[in-house]
Amino acid sequence: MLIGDRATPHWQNFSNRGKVTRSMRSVRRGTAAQLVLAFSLLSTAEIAGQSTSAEELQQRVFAARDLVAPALVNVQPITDVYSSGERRSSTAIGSGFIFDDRGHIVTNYHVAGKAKRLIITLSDRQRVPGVLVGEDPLTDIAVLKVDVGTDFKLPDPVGLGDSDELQVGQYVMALGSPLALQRSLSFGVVSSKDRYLPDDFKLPTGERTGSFNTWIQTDAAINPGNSGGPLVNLDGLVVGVNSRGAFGASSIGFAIPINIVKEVAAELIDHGRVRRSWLGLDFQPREELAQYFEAEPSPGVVIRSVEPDSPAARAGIQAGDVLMAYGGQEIAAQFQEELPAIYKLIADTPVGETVEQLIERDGEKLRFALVTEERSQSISDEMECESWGFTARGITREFAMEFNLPDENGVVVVGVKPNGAAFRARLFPGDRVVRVENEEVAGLDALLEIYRRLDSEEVENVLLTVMRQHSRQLVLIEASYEQ
Amino acid sequence: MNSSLLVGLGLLIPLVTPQGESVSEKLSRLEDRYRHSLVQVTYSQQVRVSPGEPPQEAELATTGILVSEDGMVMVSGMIYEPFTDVPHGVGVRFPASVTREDATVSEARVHLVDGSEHAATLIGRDAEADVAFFRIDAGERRFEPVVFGSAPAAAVGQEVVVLSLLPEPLGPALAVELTRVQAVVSNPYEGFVVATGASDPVGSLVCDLEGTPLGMLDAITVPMPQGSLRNPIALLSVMRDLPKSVGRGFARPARQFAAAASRSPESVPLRRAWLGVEMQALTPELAEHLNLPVRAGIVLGYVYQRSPAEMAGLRTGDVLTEFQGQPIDVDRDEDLGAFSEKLLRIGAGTEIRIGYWRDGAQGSAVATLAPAPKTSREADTVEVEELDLAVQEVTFDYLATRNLDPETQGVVVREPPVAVRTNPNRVRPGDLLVKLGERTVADLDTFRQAVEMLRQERPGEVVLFVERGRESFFFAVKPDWE
Repeated sequence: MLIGDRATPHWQNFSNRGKVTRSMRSVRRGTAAQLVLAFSLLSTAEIAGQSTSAEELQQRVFAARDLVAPALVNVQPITDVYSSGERRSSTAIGSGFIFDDRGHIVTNYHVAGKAKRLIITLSDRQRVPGVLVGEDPLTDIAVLKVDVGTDFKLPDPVGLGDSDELQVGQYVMALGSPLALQRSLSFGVVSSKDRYLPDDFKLPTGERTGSFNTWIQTDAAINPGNSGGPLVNLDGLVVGVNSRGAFGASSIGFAIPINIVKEVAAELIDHGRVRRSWLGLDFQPREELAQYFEAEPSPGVVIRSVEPDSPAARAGIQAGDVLMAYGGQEIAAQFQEELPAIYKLIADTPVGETVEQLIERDGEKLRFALVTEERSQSISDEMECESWGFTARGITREFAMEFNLPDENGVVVVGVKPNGAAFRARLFPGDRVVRVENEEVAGLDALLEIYRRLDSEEVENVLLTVMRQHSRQLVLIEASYEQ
Repeated sequence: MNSSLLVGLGLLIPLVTPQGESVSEKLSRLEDRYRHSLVQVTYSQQVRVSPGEPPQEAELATTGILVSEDGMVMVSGMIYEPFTDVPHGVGVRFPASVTREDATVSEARVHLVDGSEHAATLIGRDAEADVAFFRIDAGERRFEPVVFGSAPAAAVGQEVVVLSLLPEPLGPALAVELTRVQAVVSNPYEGFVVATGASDPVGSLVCDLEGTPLGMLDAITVPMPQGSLRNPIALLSVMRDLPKSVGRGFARPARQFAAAASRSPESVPLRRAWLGVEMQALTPELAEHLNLPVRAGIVLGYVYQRSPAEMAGLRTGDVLTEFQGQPIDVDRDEDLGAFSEKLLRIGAGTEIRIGYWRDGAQGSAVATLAPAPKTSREADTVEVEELDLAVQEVTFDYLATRNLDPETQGVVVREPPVAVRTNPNRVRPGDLLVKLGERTVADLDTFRQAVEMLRQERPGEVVLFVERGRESFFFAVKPDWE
């Protein structure tokens, strides 16, 4: 009903603008102020003459705004970034909102994740320090807490809506700091409520994200800086966390449904992290392979790949098998939009639980009992070896698979400082350091320990053994100690 | 001009040969004999310097030698060496080891000294002889080839004639130049050096005064360290080395390519010799740090499985210090190219003696060089239009870079079908295709057979099972049997 009412004045507004332009040409001597006045009077008169429900809509927008705006915050993190072989401090601007009456703030992981310090600007423009409570790259959510005394009175938290109840076409508005323009509001509709975005999407920090939810797509303007801000319905309840835009597009923004945010935020507040189960299964909807299996729509989800050394691989599950039931619960994914729910079902299983899988293979039904394992960190932290002139990262299971490494031993050189010690010794980004002098480097912790020791002794020449693709190279670094 | 030349030479050689022919008469006869045998080949070369960027294209020219009556032209293998412009407008040829990719050559034309011009087709290269062949598309026209017989070796001080082509705007026209062999060299390249003013020396013919072909002037690749493209300092030092060869020409002796020139170039080319190792220079600093009693050598970074090096017992980490009883004087990565070149040119089947250090002890090994196996760049490819899929055979370098066992079976996806290419999770170039529908794919032959069967069965959908590293998965394509 509202849609029709709004559509008419909307179009009329457009044509009015055209008329005003023509009249501008004919009255060139008029001042700019006069013309602007003429335009606004004309528009208002037209709308008022056509519809009263537009006025109602306006009032509801105002009311919803007033419910959320006080709890809106601007988040400025101070993070370490690693660039050209050095550690530097960096900052960014994002948005967030007060989540509960204990001072927790929800924002995106890609805004506040790994922050060393946080500056939070409240809606009354007060700046207060914040601390990171927990972060979850897989859903791109981070929870912060305002770091002030108990007598500090924070605005009331937002009300949380139910994102499952959203409808395509429903009015929503986005609040936040697009391009650092604080306390901005934009308005639009839900363009889609179950948008599937490829699960290989990566955050700027390198982690995969978004496997466990479909996305709310909206045409309410979402720009860089909106990240972490609330998507709000006309009742003033938060239904999503604005997270992504689309390059080269306008009026296409994506928000994480609030229902998944509620779960993740609760875990982060209670435990500081989200524990998830992992079986090593990757799925494919049946639709894409309908003819190969059966022409008829059928239950189950096709297993596209099985990760090596995973619970699924050890149990003998193979790519091409069809998963029919998980822990007694029947499963079906005809289309890709149905995949995130299946990934989430597995992830939400308590770690270490035995789950029965019903598998169909060549028309036969097979049962496998799998013990879930905790999903490991997707990407390792980075560290700087300052006197050696490079930065390095540990090797996670995901990283090893992506780059066809035979194992997870060693650390990978990420940056080499121009004209630094490592640069002169011809160490290159991508080299995998497996040994320092005669000590094996199992991972980042081992490198950190060796580096600290040799650095404090000011050892002059350090021999690294690195793997450059499959070839082993010796790199003799002449360390540079300043002062 | 002829008379002053004769005066200058009068003291050195008899002006009249036993046959009663003067030098000028000889040169004139050589000009007459070979004027239609040298041609200018213009071609277009595409080079991809870095994987993410579009290829650079350059219009280049070289001199070619006609080697058959029906229009086969031999040129230096240099045409495959990527040529690219580096900053400051200096043209540099990058050895393939730097770009890791040979250039693509296309759109060739052949210009003769009589002013005629023909389109030409690139036939291919003979990697061992390091020459390439074009065939002139000139129908029934007959040409005057150069015949490379059992050419005598050139000696220092010997008088020789360089036959080269003058470029535009004078040419192409044949230039005849009387000169001498200044040096005979064997390291890093085997050949001889002549003084020459030839403006486009590469591809020029060198013969003795009787007209017997002795060799062909060729380009010398300036050895560059691996990864130097990423290291501007190394690149600058290479650029500074370029003008050093001005006024000299390096000739490769005819016996290196005589066989290639006489056999039908369409036949399978012979291969260069291969030891099967990745190498790193042992710098004096590294040697000292490792407590080795030498100051130069080669550290083995990788020994390919089933390579001559592996069969000779060499291992990753060994430090090679002697080659054929001589100390190896490689003490910086820049010198590795020359050593590799020496190995490549020795010839497959040759036994080489190597002395090395391992765990503080000396050892020695005898390796029999093998013909270099095909790299993924040269691998045979099969395209299946109906599946919109191109695959190639598994090669030794593919196995090594992906840490795969030499027994690995399958074929490598070269061009995934467009329909499944959009999602990078589905299939990527480099994935190993192991099963086509129900049929196991072990190699290109079994792949071809499986495709033949599919062509008869014409299924509406074909499922391809692929492996990527340690992961295995599959995807479906809808074939277009029309």
